[in-house]
Amino acid sequence: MGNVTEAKKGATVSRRSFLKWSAALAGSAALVGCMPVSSGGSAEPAVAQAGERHLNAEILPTICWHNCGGRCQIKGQVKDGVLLSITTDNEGPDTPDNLQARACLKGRAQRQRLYHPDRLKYPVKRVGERGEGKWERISWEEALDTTASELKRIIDQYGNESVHYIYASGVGGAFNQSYMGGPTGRLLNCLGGYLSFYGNYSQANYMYAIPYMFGSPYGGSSPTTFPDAKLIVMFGDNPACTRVGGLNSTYYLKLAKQNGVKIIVIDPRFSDTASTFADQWIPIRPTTDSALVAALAYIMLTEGLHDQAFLDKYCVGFDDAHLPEGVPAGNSYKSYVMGDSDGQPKTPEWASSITGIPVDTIKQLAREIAGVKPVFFIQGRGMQRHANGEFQALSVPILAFMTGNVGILGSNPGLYEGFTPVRMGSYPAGANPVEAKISFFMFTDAIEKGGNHTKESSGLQGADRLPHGIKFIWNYGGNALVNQHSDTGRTTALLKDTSKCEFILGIDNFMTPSMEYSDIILPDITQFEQEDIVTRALGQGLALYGRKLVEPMYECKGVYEICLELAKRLGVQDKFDEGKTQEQYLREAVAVAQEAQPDFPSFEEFREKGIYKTKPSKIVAYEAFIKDPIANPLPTPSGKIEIFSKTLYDMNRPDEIPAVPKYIEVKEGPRSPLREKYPLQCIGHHSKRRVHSTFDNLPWMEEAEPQRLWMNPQDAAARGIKDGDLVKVYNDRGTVKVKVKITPRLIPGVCSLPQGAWYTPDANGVDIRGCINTLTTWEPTKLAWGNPQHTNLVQVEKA
Amino acid sequence: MNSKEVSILLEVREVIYTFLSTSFLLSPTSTQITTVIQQRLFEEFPLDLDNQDAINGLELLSSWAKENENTNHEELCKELLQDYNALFVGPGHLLAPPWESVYLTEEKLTFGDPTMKVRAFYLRHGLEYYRKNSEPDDHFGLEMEFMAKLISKQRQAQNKQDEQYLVREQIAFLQDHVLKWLNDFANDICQNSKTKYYKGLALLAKGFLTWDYQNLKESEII
Repeated sequence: MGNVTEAKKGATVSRRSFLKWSAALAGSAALVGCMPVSSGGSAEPAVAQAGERHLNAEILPTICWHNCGGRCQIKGQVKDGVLLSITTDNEGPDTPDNLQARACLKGRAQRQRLYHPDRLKYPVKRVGERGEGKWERISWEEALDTTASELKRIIDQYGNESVHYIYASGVGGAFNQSYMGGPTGRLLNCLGGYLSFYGNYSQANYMYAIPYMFGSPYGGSSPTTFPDAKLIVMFGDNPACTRVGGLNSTYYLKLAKQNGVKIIVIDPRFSDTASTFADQWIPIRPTTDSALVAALAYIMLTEGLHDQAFLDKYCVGFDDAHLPEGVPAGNSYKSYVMGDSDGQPKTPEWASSITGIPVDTIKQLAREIAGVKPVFFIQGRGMQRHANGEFQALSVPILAFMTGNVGILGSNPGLYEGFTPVRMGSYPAGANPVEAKISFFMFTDAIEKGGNHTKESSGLQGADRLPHGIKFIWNYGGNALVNQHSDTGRTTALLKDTSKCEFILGIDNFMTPSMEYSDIILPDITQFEQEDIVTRALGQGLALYGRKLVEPMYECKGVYEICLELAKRLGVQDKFDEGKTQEQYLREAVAVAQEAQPDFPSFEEFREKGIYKTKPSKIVAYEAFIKDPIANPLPTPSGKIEIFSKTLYDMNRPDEIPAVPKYIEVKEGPRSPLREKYPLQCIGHHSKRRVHSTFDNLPWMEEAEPQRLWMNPQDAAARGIKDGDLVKVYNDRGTVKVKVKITPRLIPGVCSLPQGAWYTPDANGVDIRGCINTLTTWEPTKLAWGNPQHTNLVQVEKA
Repeated sequence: MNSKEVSILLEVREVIYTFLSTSFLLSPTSTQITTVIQQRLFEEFPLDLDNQDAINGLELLSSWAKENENTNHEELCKELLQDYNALFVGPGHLLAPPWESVYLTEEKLTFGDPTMKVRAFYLRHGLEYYRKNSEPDDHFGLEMEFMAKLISKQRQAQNKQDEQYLVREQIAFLQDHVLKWLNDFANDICQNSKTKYYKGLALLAKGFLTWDYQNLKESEII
């Protein structure tokens, strides 16, 4: 070294090198972040010392808006522009007339979403193969320009039907909306429309099938009437985990329990709801609920316990005497149950061999159901998420008809809970000029088959054929592109082929497995960085106002701003932009609420308090119809309850689509020959640590309930597997490596991999996080074109 | 050490802190790479430190520069950028999230108490991050820049008392903030970086900051 000066012990300074370094760095030294503040440097702000952390913090109301089915209030403690911590609705008293909309573990962990170091921060574009994980940070200008030109190119080349606004439920506000509509819907409508969808991952089979019986998918009794029942029979349904927040049906289950109402839960799993509330847990093999119902009907019929007068007056097709004209005898539900049509009476012994429920338990259950009134029959959404889901869903109401448990306080005919929603306006998305709609579950089919996605082959509605399949996907706040859709291996292979779907836009807060398959990703703001409104009702109606707690972080932008910028680039600004601010739209939404609910507060008051609740009401399902079926007929072809559906009968596919809710054996069920190779039924229950796939990446949630495969001790012992072991779960579609939780809370022969974990394939394509959809199938259900994601056979072995 | 030597050392430290600041705060650029490689800056580091991390770091950086003398600097920059983004920017899971709060809070989040304390420290010296509340104040690169600013102030100090105060502030900032997470942060970079460049940089930062803190503590006693 040249000009060396002794500096300190252990170091010498080279003057020549130093001059060289100074010169080299002269340019960059100016590019720095700490700017002098205008107020000078004397201020000594209150630093977060113990006990002083929240001193002078402002408390602002906001919302938890993810898709659990409930909605809750969050209160943010904000100081110096930073969210310090979160509390929730604490306005009391918490009584049956005024439930607190208290957030659950997930809502209270929301700060971990806002301040997660892994948040998406800047726009990026794909630079490697699609899905390869190579990205380049780009400017908003470039991201918007590219998106706009691709959208225009694809519309010009393939038409508006080729642009799919994919199912997504991560954002659910009156202004921001990822489930159809919202600013995205408006932008695409201004451009000539887009390919929309029918059905959804939560309840497709139920929603499609129930109208064949009732004329409508809605109309159950409200959970406020749980305490009025004598007996509650739950087929699945686990609100204690799926809708944990304070203003939900679990509260009314507690009241029912306090009232001495007996609660029976029929579920393969001893769920949190079963363990907390049930007097009796009846474990059942997945996909076999309609076999149980048939056997219960058999006992009631043979022992004369059923309400024949009710069936005669209100129902079509329970017995041969009440079939529609022109339908030959032997097609009624009763003839199915008695074995007239197939030679197999649906005896408890028959059902026991299918369901795994002891004969005596079935007999006892039938007598108990028939011997008490009112009975509140209810089903959850899990039992219909099967390959025979439509007929699973349709079977439960039969029990209510046979026992006359319809239209009386404390009864429910096996339907989802009813509710009276709070009326609220929403952002005007306008009308979609494209009439074609695919099943939500068939988007992969519409990508893969291109122009061969038709009404017959794929359940297309509103058109006979999609001219080019799907070429552009708009994925905003959604993880159904990869993670929540079936068969992640097959889906990702399809998406990798950029000649099929040519462009995928992703907008989200995190790099989910679906975002990995985007071409451009735009970083979204959370609800805490903007204002919005949500509503919800389960018993008591609820509207929540979300205040902006902090400034948008990094370079994140909201979807409205994104759509407005694209509208400018695509020449539709005049149509899209009404010249209104977000606040004006929210004021208009509140004006709708004020007109519908006279006691709704002023916008200012609502924004200040952040919460509005209606008085709880008691809804009794089909009360008017039962009182006077002539004056108040159901919207079915006959005006009555259609146990036998002529519409289904006329489809003439009796083995797959029966006209009465028969038990249909599925390809991957308890008696399937495939069990020799894959002996375990694998379901994917909802864990309380996630809302679908949201929250999977939060440390608190992993601590609360780590991702584990649930397995019965007998099945584990037979495989030499111990609790906490790493196991391999596999079938022909894929392999998952995950740790195991060994528990008698699940029956032998069944395992469960809680749904929503983020698909993380290793170099060999083995998912090492535990995503159930590594194992599920694309094959849709027969009637609804819906998802069968709990119907899987697998093998499990020590990894 | 005479006063001239002291003032040179101050200048050198300011330059090194500025270098660390820009290296961590900003994405690599091809002009910067060209300068560093052509002028062989890492072979002629202005301080000859007897700290093993610093020595190892400089060795890695020098060998990286040597190996890439004839590489296309645009390509080299792309490679460094991939590494920089994977470590500090994203998208997706960050291999070395560059914020103090992520390392020092139980929940491993940004904008925790350490961020607010760093913010208060800056403010005490009349400084504020221009992206305040949009990006965290406790980015490693910002903390380095703040040190450079304290040294610059010290260089301009009018009296001994001010000078000593600024030395104490540098010691306090290193002690209460930088050194509390430096090791874990540097280890994350060393374990996850795919380039000698960022591994070397992490080791150099670790070695230099450790040396500088001891140096400051000793000068405070004097």
